[in-house]
Amino acid sequence: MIIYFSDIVTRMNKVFYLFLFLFIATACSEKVQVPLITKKTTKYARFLSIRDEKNGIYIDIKHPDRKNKEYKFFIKKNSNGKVPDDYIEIQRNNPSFIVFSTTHIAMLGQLNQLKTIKGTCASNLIYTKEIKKNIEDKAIVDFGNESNPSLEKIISIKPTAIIYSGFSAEFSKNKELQKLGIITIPNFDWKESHPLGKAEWILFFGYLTGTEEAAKKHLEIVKEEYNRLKKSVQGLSNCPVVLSGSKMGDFWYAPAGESYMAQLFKDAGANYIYKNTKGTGSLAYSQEKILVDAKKADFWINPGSPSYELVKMSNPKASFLVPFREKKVFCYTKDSNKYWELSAIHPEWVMADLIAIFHPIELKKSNLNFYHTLD
Amino acid sequence: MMIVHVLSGQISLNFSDIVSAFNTYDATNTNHIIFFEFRIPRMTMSILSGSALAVSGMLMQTLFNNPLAGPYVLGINSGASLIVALTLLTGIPFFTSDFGLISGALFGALLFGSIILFFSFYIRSHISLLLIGLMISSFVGAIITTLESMSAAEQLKSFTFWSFGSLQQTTLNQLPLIITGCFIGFLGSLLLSKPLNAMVLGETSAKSLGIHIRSFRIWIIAITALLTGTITAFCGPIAFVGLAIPNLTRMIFQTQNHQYLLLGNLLIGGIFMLTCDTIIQLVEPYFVLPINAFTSLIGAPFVVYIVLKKLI
Repeated sequence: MIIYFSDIVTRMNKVFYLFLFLFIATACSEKVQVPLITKKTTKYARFLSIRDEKNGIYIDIKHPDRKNKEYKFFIKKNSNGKVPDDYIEIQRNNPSFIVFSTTHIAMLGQLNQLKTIKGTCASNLIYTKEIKKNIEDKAIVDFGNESNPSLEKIISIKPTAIIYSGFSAEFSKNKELQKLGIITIPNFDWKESHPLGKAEWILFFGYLTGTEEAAKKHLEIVKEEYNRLKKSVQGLSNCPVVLSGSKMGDFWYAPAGESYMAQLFKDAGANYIYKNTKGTGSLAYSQEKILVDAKKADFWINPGSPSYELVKMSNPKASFLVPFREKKVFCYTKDSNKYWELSAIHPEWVMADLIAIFHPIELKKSNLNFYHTLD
Repeated sequence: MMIVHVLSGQISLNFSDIVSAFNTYDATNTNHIIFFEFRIPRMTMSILSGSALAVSGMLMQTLFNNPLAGPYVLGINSGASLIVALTLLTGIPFFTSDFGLISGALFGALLFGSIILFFSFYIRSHISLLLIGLMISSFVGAIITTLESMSAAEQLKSFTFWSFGSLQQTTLNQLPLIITGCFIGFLGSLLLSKPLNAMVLGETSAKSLGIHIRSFRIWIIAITALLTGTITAFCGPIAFVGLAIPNLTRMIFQTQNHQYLLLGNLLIGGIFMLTCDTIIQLVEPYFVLPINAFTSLIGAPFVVYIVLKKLI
């Protein structure tokens, strides 16, 4: 095959015109670039990033288990502003939400924004009296559970956004809701491994409702108290050995060494038996291994039952564990709803409880916020 | 096999631990506790569950003259599961005790065994009877699913884990009760071995040999309910053992004499479950393998093999 020079020139001309066209097309489009200068408001949260910029607020939520999956939301600061590419706009004029976790209720409650909640789920797990009463009065819709909410009920509410826990990748009715213009936002506060990272999700609700200053103020107080408590037990020679978790089926599920509970134990001056293990989830061990590893355990935290009798009923072999025999087992089960709802926004309360349990000289056990010794 | 099972697990025990546990038991010695309170009950339950379910399957297969019959297929297991589901998912206090759980599972097994027995009086076709058994299982499954959908997360979790099956829940103190229940069932099966042999020849021949068919059927159902109910109450549902082991025993022993078949089922059922649980113990450090899933993984292909063998 013979290629003539004139052919090459003609082809090069075509390529040139193609590049020229693309350049003009790109230059003429009104794309809004995400600012390079960032003012990140979160420090401990791994899955939430909020940047308060001049043109608006950028909310980036990372999926904990899917590396490349990100959810991007934008709140305009002025009505003429443009929404950046890949971002979904959230309107915050007169916002209303359907929230699918009690931690969301607590965060909105802390910001005096309970009035924005129009729907929720699992009413038997809610601690806040106002929400319970509103569900009874039918002012708030109870959707039962997150996995299969009624689409018709959602449409009748027409919320600004649905905030869900993100147990699965997408909200179950996501496609239908997108067509109707209802935004779904995953909330991965429950996946945060640092107690203060979990608490930082209040900023997300703050920005959604325009109460970011109140959220920042709350967070400042929480961080200050948490770090003060942490400092108070640093350097203590007596670090009690702690066992945590409970048996389900044939295995004992204990928090891994980089998990939320392991961080709390570390900060509360305890020597958690699986502190050196990897991972932020749970470890599954045989009960024989637990018996050997917890041979020197002083305390057992979170057996999941409110009394020794119930622990023994669900796991008869628990009686061989030293903390069980010595009656040094603590749990939050006196009011589990209170713990699950409030512990995320008040990690300093959880911390205070644990310090009171592990180091009774530093704090008195009589005023525990969530925990209690089993009955 | 028993020694291999006792020595397997995440915590390694050696012979000296076992000898010292027998000679001078120390309640504070972790290895002694593991041997007596964990390994011995687990090993005993492996043997008892395998033997009891295999004998139940043998009784059902002879009663219905069908190699594909078994407590699981005929809905007896499902009956026991239903009552346990009712207790765990509704939280009725009486049934949460050992006695309550075993009596509930027994009642469920007996009730659904009687239902299948009632149908057997009127339906001669074994295929139709098996289909009715499967329909009962599906019906019970639907009730359990409905109960699950209405239950709180904690109760649902308890029942889900129970449905995985477990040989580790039993304590040393519970063993005498379970051994007694199984022993009565095995003894009853032994006493019924002659009528069972006669039943192989068909109902008409059995009648001519002086067997009272109606009372014989009631006894078979009662013994099956006792064995299946006891094991289901303490170990949860364990699938396919009752179906596959009696067939395997017949293939190995090549006899229809129920005295030998009974002994064969006791032996092979026990060895099968001991082997399954030893494998589970060996893979424990790497992943969770529920006993009910594992027996199904092995049992289901074996049942397909039996069906294909009969067709070919």
